[in-house]
Amino acid sequence: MKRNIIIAVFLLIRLEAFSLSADEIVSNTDKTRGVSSICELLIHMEDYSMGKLSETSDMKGYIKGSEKSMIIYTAPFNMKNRKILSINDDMWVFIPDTQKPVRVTASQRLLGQASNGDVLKIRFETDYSPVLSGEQTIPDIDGIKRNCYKLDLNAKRTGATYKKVILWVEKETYYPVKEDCFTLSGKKLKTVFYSGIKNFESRNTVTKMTIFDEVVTNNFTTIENFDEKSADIDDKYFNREYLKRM
Amino acid sequence: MLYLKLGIRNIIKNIRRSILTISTIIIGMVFLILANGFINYTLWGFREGIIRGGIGHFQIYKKGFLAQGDEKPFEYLITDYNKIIKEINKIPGIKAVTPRLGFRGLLANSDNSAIILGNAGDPVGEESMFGAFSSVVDGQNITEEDTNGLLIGKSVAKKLKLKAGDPCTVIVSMNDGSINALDFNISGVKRLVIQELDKVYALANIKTVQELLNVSNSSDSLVLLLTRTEDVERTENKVSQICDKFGLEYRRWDQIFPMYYDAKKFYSSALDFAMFIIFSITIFAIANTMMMVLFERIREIGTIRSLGTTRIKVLKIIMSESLILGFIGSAIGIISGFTLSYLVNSLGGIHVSIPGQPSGYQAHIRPDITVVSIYFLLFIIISAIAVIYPLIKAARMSIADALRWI
Repeated sequence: MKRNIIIAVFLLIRLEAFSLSADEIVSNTDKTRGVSSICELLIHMEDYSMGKLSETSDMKGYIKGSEKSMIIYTAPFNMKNRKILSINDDMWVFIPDTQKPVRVTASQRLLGQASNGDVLKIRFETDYSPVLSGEQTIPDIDGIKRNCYKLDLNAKRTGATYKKVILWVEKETYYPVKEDCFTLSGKKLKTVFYSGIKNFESRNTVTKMTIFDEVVTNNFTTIENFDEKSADIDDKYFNREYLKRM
Repeated sequence: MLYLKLGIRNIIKNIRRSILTISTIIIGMVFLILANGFINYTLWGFREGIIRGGIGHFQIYKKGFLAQGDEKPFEYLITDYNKIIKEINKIPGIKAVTPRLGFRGLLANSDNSAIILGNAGDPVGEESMFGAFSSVVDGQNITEEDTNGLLIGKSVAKKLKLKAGDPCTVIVSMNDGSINALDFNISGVKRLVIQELDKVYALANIKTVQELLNVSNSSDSLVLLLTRTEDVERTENKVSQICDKFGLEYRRWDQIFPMYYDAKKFYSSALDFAMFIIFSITIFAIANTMMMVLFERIREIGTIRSLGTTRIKVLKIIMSESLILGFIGSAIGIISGFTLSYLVNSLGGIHVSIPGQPSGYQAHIRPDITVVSIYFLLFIIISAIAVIYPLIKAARMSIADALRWI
């Protein structure tokens, strides 16, 4: 009897430790992804279709925490000066020579680069409740084996794009390695690989994401950040009316 | 009575001339009836084609859906529609009711993706209501058993290189903004007349789409079909009552498809013009025959007048004769016109091809009784009027001249 109680208590502590650490892991991972930082950065994006590079674009981004971001295209030429503002779950696109930014609804974001925007916006800590489901050694994008925690994340906030995410986080460093995004019906839509760890203001951060489309399986996209620097960003950048004058 | 008797006697006496006049009237009447019947059927078929092609007689929505539904489709869903359907089925004259649910999303396979404006319906209900009008070119329509079947437009199929039996995925965003996706199988490919629709068309099982959008037992519209289109006005009141009771609103088929009136006007004006020409020719032929026959009889009129009959009496005799001729001719014309229409219909009608449709249709002849009765009256009046000019001419002649008329 005594032994049973001890085992039970032990199990309880262990479970507690697991769930606590799941939250911690996710919180640490979000930090290495630069979520909730206030910064300016440059973004380089490459779309591949059928194994060939089909489109590249460059953007300058202003990010204020996890809620607000504003992106200006700098290349290619036909996209230049296009601005994308997102505040929480809402998104607007401003096209030069037009008067007003256009709101982009959730169903209009299913396609193309916008659907990758939804992947970028994933915030593990605030949107999902994590459960540590085990440890696994998986290859990263370059084929290097990494020891990882495997976490099952279930959406806790309505409006989270994906209802379920499976995340692999490297054990010692808490860098995200891989992430599978699932819908309510259990269908896998995207697989994301993280890479390109760089030092930025005395902390390490992942700078490259490779997003594989699991439906249109011949397509994938790479997104790379660089020149990230902390800056005090004025709130006017996130004002819809201001987009035109910028 | 005397004039009637005299008229009939005159007709029998001049039997050759009478037959000539009567047959002109008969042929004219038959032509008019056939033309009217064909036009009538065409317009009827056009109207029924719209209604039974998928619009139905009434569509019911949640109040506000029509104004706001595009922006916030999830807020204007009819939930628990089975109760409402039960209520609607009690209205006399209703043939069937079926729920529909629209969905916007992405259809993708491993190579490509396309935007679709999908529709979801109950395959059994849709088939029983609109089945005869669907034009599936490859594979088959969605069925009750094949819950993950998807019928798509030809242009969609072409873009994604899909054919019947191929797997594909539909991705949609749900009410809360998150994404959902389900695997489907292409059950068939349909060709739509309107190219723009063909590029985005998809049809799926409503139960599956409810699951996909996470809105169980909801639809954005209910489609009502009556047994007869003529009952629309009589039923409208009851539909409106049910709508008020459940906080719904409705649209009649001609409000959903207002183009019908423009198209009908266009068809009608073209057909009316043709009708006018046929009518004029017929009238001219009748009047001509009547006049010709009367000119032959000027000597006869001279003889009658030389016996002391007044001009008025002569007028009355000839008038009653031509009225009787008109009556007999039109009556026989109507009977033969309807017989001929019946014959054409029972032989399968006239084949008419429609632009943009793979198969045409068999036009029947369906004359309008009201219009035919108007023709009947007009013909009798015209027969009487046609003889006035030669009559006046004959009456003005001196009796001696009339007797010498050749």
